[in-house]
Amino acid sequence: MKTKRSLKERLLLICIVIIVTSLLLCTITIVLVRDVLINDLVKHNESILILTNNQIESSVLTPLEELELTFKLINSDSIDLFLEVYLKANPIVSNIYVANEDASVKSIYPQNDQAYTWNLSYDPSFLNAEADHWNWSQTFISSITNETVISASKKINEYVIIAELQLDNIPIDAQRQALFGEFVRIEVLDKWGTYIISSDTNKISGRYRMPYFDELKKLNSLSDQTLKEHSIIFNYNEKMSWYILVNYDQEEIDRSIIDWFLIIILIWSVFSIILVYSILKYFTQSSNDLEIIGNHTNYVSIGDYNLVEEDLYFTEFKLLDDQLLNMACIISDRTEEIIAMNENLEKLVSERTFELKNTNQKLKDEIQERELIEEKIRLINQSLDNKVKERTIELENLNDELNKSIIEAHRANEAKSKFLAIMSHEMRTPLNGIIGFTHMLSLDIKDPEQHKTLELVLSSSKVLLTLINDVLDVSKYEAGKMKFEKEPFNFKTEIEEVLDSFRVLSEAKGLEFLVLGYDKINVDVIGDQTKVKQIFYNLLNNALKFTNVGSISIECNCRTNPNMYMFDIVITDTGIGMKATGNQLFEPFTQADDSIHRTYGGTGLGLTITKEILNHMMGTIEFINDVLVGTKCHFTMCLEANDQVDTIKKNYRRILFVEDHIVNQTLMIRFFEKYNVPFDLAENGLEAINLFEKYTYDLILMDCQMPVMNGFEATKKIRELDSQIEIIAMTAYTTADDRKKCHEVGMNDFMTKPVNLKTLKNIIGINESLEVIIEEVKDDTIRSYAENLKNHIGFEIEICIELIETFISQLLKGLKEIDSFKITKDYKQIKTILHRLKGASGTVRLDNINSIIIASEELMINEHYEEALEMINTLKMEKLINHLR
Amino acid sequence: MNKIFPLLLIALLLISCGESETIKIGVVGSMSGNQSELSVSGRRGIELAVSIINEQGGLLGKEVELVVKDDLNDMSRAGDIVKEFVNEDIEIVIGPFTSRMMLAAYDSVEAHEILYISPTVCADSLNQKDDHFIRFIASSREQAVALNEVALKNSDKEFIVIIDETNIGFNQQLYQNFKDILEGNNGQINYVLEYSVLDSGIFKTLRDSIKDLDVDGVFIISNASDFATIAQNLVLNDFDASLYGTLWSHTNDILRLGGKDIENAYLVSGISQSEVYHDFNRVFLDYYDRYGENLSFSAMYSYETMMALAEAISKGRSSDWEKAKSTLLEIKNFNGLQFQYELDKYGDSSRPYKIDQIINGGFLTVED
Repeated sequence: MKTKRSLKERLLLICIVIIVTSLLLCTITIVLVRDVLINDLVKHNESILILTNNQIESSVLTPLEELELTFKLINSDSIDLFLEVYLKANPIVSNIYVANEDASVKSIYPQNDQAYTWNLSYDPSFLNAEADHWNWSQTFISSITNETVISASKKINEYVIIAELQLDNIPIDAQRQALFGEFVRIEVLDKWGTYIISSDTNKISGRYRMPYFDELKKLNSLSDQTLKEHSIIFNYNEKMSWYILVNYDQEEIDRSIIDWFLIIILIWSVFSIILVYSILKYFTQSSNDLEIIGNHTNYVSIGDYNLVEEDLYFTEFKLLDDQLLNMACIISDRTEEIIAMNENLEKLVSERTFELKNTNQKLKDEIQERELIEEKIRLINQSLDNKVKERTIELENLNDELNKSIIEAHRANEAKSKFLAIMSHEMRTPLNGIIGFTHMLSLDIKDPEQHKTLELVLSSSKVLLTLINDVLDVSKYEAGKMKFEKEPFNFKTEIEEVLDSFRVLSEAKGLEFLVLGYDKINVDVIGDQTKVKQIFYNLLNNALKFTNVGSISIECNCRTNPNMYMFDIVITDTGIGMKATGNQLFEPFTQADDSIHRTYGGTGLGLTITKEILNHMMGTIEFINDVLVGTKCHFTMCLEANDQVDTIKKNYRRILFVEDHIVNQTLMIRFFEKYNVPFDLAENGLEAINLFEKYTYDLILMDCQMPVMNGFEATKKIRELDSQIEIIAMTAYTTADDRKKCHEVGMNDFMTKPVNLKTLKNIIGINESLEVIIEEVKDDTIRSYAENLKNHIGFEIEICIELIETFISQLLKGLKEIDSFKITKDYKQIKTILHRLKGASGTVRLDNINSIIIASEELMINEHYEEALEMINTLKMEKLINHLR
Repeated sequence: MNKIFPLLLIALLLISCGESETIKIGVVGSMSGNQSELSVSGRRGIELAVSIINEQGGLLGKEVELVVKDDLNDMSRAGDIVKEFVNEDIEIVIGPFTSRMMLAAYDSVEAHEILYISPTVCADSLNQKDDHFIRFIASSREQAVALNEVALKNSDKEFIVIIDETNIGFNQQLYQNFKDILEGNNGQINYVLEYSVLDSGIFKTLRDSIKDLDVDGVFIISNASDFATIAQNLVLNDFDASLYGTLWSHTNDILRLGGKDIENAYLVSGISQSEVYHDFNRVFLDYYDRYGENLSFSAMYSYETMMALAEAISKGRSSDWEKAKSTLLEIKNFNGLQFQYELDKYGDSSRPYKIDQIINGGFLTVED
């Protein structure tokens, strides 16, 4: 942004610039003038120098030439007279010597007696004298005048003439020919730089050398004959080898220039003062004029248009002021017009204002009315609000009661479900016992009548179990707690089990039982096998139940989807068919008609559960009825494909069985005994741990719910001792949570109660081959020993065979152990084994083996180890052992 | 104010420095008249030394400026000149060049804060004084010793002595010393002539006095000009004897003035002509280039004196007279153009004299 300055500042600034510039110009001019003057002076002095040079040359050389000429022309007799006149006429020549060739003084002028004794033989003037030119000596003190002189010597005829010259006596006119005052000084130096002419006599008498002679000599060789620094110009005279100097005093020039300078400064000062005065004066006048104009402007601005015309100094400002006055007149007129217009406007405004006031009053009245109405409405609203609040409280109370009723209803329903579940569960356990024992009993009872009775008991028990299970399932379904397990199984294997049982039942009823497409369903899947089996069981049960003649056929199909198998099953029977159709069939506790229940029994829950299960398995079910022909049931289900099939199938040698319930204990003990499986029984978890710490087991079958210590805690403790031992849970709990809990505590697998004996056989490893061996032994050597044992203990032959076979297996195991202890020479362990075998062999009445073992034990006790071991080896040669091995 | 005061001080210092941009050294001597030869050549030696010093940057960063005063060989002016120097703030003066003028100035010098250094004043009376005077030459007695050695060698035993009585302090003492030594060598002085102005009367007296004397040598104690004139008068009167002269007479113009008549004369000398000295030759040539004459003993001694003084000022970092004096005495040993010389604790030199004989218009050192 441009800086704003006042006019006064600007004017003064310009004044200063002009004054300084003019001063500078003056100074430059003076310097230039000085240079010009000096140049003029130098030129002037150069002319003086030439004049002086000529004057000195003529003043010195002319007398010498005259002397030489006279000496040559006048004979020696009249020379004395001539020289006297000559010396008077030429004051610069102070003495003249006439020397003989032998350096003696012939004559001297003016006359001097003493001089005649002098010998000039070593005098440079005499020695250097030549005939053709005058020789100039250095300055010296004259022996005659005692003044500083310079001598000129020359050989003339047979003499040497020596003239001592006192050059001070030369009148130099040029000293007065000055340009400015008397500041020209002329001096002459000899060739050594010694002063020979100078106004300063000390320089002559003291024989001083010119101080800047060395510089001067250098300049002379360069043909520049001005020593500016010292204000000297000079000329070299070759004839005499002298230097003629003109000194000019620069300070003199400066002094004269200062006069000029003062005059110029004076003029400049006057000019400057006038300039500043004029500018300030005009500035003041202008300010006055501007002030008047400013005042006029102010009057106009405050609305005073009656301006008086005033006399202004400058016409330009006067013109401006006139224009301002003119403008004031115009503004005055305009203002009057505006005032008139304003008055009109004000009048209009007041009228309109009055109207507005009236309107406002009306509006106010209306507003008041509105406010009254609004107040009334507000009161009505308030009473409505109160009523709403009252009703709301009533409704809330009603809601609370309703909620309470709902909660109670829920509780009642839950209690019902819980009751059903608990009752079902509690009923199942004794029923398991009944079925188990009945089954076991049926194996032993040979009497057909009794057997038939037992079969009926068994059948009734199974119906009851089915009923209970159905009720339990329905209650779960109602409670929404139906849970589906995810376990790997082979579809064919599991279904085959069901089908096989129905085959037996159908054939027993005289019905043809056909299964088509077995191979199509031989696939491994993941799902709830129990539920799958339940479907087949329910549907086949119905078919079997309502078919008295003809056949039951099952057609199996399986389609493969990615990671999924879709099973398509059709069960066709030639039974009585069904009247009911559609959803009616699947209502709980609903049967085709009440006569059916009376005739065929059943709860009416089967199809309901089946449909629920199938729904869960993304399946469908439909019945195609033909009352005369029979029933065709078509259902589908989807199950996840299992690519990794891992079935635990190991042969366990010794089992720890943990169970608190006496019925289950007995059932399992019978089972173990039947299949000669070695086991120990623990009645609770603590006992199990104690036994585990003492003995080695391959498998632990662990009940979960037990007094003292339950199965979960016992498993945890055992896992702390051994992480490898296989532990399988046996429990009535069948939920996924239980299974999960079992895995968490470290159990390897899970088995539901009532225990499926076939499954248990698979787990323990009781296989077909063993049964075959048993069959073989029955007919062979073992049978004879079994007969012997039977005679002693009265057990069944099969049991005796089993006992012997068990002993033999124990014996073989013992022999193997002995072989290993033999290597480590652990004879104590061998003795223990022998002791154990001794008792067992006695029990089973294998006398040969028993005697060998006893003998071996005795040898061992007597520390005859080698003999004892040899004896033991003979056991291996036994016929029975070799046969079994 | 706090800022202005130091500025003023600096300005004053600058002004005072500006005033003494040079170191002023006084030179006093008889610069005009027939006695001026010794002083003028002495002054020229000093001028040469100063021009060399200034070419090399001066002393203590300042140029050396010579302030020359001519005493006109007037004893009455000697004291006034001392005062003039003092008034001009000049504390160190080289000169005068004759014992006569030094003795005239002595009291005044002692009375002022000033130091006089003379290259050529050898008056015995100034010996062994701790004063404002230093001389760079041995005492006159040494001249008497040197001359007597030559006289003894030449078997010159009978002597006439002619004395310029104006150079008091030097000539009387020298005469006495010469006489004592001569008589000690079984010689004797047969006649003594004292003069103040050489005129025909003096020469008549001389002729009459020595007409019947049979002497071996004439010992002239005078300046060069008088020596030449006396010698020529003796020759004119067929007076045959060896001429002996003092260092005073050993100036450049003695040859010009004396000519053949002073051939074979013996003069006391300060310069050895018998050997080559590099420094001496350099200065000799410089001097000849400047002045067109040979380097006389006076010029050489003056040159050496100025150089010694410059050394003292530089070393003492001061141009104060007392400091210069003490530094000179402290340095003690100085390298001359030909050989080393020494100042004793009184500021007196004892440098040896030589004896030159004038042979074929030149000097030949015969006693070194």
